[in-house]
Amino acid sequence: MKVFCPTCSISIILFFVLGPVEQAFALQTHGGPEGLYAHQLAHLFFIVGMGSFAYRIHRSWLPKQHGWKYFVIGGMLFMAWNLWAFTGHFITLLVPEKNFILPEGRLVPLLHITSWKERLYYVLSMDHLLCVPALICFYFGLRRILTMLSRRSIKDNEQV
Amino acid sequence: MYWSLFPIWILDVSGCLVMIIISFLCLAVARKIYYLDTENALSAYLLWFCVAIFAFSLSRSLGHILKHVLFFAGLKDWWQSFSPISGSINTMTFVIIGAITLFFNRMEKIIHRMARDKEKIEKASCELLSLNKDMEDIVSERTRAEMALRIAHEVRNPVAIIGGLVQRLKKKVSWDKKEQEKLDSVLKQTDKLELLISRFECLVSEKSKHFAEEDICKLIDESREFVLSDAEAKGVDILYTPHTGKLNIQIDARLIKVVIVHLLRNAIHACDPGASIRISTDIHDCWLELIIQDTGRGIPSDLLSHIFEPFYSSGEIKTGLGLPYIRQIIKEHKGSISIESQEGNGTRVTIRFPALLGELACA
Repeated sequence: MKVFCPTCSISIILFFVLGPVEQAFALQTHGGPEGLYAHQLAHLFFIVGMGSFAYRIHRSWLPKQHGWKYFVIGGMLFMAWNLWAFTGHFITLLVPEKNFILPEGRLVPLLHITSWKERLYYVLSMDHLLCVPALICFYFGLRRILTMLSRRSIKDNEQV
Repeated sequence: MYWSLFPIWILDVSGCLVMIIISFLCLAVARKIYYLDTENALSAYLLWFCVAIFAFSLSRSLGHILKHVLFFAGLKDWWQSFSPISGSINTMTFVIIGAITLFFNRMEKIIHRMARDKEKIEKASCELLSLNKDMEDIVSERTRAEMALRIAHEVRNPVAIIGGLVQRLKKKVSWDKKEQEKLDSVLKQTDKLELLISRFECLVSEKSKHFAEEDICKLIDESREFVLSDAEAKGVDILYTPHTGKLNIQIDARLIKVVIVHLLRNAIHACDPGASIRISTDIHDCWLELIIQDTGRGIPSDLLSHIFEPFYSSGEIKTGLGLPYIRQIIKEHKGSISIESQEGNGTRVTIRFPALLGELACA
């Protein structure tokens, strides 16, 4: 099946370029919210990727080997972190700027708690409680794999 | 009610530093794993995964730390300029990690396929070792047989002559008792020598001990299985059309397996990717026919007439010991082998065994 027809393609492009008589913007603008949406979508993509990663490892023969179960736990923690951060970004938008107060002589600001939003923001800001353990899990997993491979390598060399 | 953001600030800064350190350690360990086995797909994957995790941790943590530093330096406005850059890089690392982790699905399939192939290779290697052992046994057996035959030939005749002459001398001449005893002793020794020769001849008779009734279809299946990985690697199809029912025949299964494997390997070697090899078995006029036909490059006509000659050379193409040895094996089974080929049109090898060797019903 012929998918690309040069004549048709050129005609369509010319129609869209020369056809409209109204003001044409050469480039699409990237307004403020676009960055946030892109970031939030990236968080969702991260969740899907990590979920698939953890699930595939869990279903495969790998968890029977040393270390891989840590990758499953790490992947799940990263999924939770993404969800945590995803919610955190939205909540940040809901907390008014005026609630962050920096009194005279203080280095660190204070948060004026007026509703559940500020409380939730406070909790969700501590997202390192999830992503650091996730990374530690990956590290343990890698260490175990390295130890196993090193032992195997020594064994192979002894056999040779 | 006012809550201090100090705990959050402390947790954020320390968390960022810990993230950088741990992700760096992860990268270092993944690098070590990779260098332990550079050809392992999983090691390479882990390295890529850790590179992405390190990039993510670094971009995120540096962004956060920079934000706090600028805040305390009273340069809060500067952060407004840096924030989009830091955020974009951070978003990019999310996408990279997402892509790498999603790729694990494909990776797992590749690893699984590699493990399966490795298993196949190990199995083929075991079979090859067993076949090699069989070949060694065959060679050793034949060497022993030839040695026995040679000794029998070289020693039997002189011993028989000596024995005969001594017998004649004993009859013709009247010897005293002492000399008679000496002659008897010579005769006794020649008898001993003849007995020794007979024992050597027994070694020759052992040659037939491997002949047994075998199903040739089963043997073809095993041989086909043996070369299947080579054929798959080259993109050559091996199609087998067996005769309906069992084809039991009196053969040395080890030798016939060597023959079929060698012919199939030759056929694969002569085939280009996309070509096919057909194996068929049938009975014709009290003969069991085994045909191996390929659609490969064929054999040049000047070489075809010398194909069974060892080390015959024509231009760049040379014959080895394989086909002469195969013909020898077929001959020992009272069979025949013929090769028809046209250059560019493939080759057809026909092996015929007399059905009388087994329990085949003559068609």
